[in-house]
Amino acid sequence: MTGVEAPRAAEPLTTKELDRLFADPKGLWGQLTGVQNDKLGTRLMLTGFIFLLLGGSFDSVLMRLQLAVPNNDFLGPEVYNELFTNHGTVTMFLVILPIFEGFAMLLLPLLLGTRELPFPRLGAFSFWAFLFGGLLYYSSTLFSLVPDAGWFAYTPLSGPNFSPDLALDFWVLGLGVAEVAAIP
Amino acid sequence: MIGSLDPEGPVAESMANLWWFMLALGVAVFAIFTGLLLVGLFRRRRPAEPRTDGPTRERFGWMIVGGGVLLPVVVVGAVFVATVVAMRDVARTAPADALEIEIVGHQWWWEVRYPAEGITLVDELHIPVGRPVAFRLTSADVIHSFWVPALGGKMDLLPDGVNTLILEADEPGVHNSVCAEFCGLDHAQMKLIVVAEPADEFAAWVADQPQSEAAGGDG
Repeated sequence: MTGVEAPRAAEPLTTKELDRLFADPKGLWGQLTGVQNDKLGTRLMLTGFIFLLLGGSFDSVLMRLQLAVPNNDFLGPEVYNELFTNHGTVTMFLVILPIFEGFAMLLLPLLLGTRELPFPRLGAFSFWAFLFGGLLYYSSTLFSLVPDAGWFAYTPLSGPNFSPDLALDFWVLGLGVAEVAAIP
Repeated sequence: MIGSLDPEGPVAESMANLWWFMLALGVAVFAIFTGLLLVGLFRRRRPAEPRTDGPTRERFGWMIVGGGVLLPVVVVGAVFVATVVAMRDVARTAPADALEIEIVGHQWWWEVRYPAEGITLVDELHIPVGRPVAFRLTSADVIHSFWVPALGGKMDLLPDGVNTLILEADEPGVHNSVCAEFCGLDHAQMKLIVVAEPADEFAAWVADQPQSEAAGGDG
């Protein structure tokens, strides 16, 4: 069994072009324009992990400090409500979801024995939508408009009568953009 | 023991029994699978056998059918039956002798009205022992939730309608209740004291109360 080449389905002319297409682009521009499932999957999980540190760990440490002793005045009720709303929202929509998705994006082609997921550009789009949606949501902190109606945002408490400021707009628009990432 | 596991009414009692049943079932499943995992981890390796796909499939097929199909069907089926049995203890229509109490949730206080007796209370609820109580729950602003763990429940107070919850206290006692649905700034301070007292004491308490204006309106 020497000198017998494994049969290839396509001519070298075609495979060379495919290899070029699936190669990782180089440099910073390559990082920004890359559509490879392994890169994007890892990046989604890392981004989710950074949101976990921000909204998961940081918020819960503050809340636990408040709850450590009765009648604590470490945080006021306004800040506490913002913290637990932010904590629930971030861990649910900006941590668990992208980490699951990144995991699937990374592993599915390996399990299936394919080069890529279908629609790699849609995968890249979903990562960027997730990142900018998450940043749009988090920018509410810069304007002191952190959502405070619970992570499930039930109406009428989250509606215009009981939450008249723009905090819930950050919530619904930011998460709306971020969850575009869940389409592919 | 916390309230819901220290039941003082028939509804709370069947819920607590269901909880204990599910805890025991969950512990049993956990113990069995931990055991299987430990067996797999610490089993001595046998010398390598020649790899044959057919017999392997036969050897592990029953594990997949048993552990992946039969066991969940049995466990979920048992939980389903236990739940249906427990649900029989939850009354859906008020018995004729039930005491009617209207509870209106406000940001952030409870309005408790006894329409037949003409009594209105704030953040306080008196009920007789041994007589079913039909709570008519509604809200004046946002969603609140009524929950007395020792008596059973919980049920939401919605601004657009009336929910009915039928509970009964078996023995006298004072219970604390807090709003169980986040309702804004002072949600944590929205507390209700529930006093369950024997029928004669309850009648005396009713006779002592100043009569409020005839109940009605939207509060």
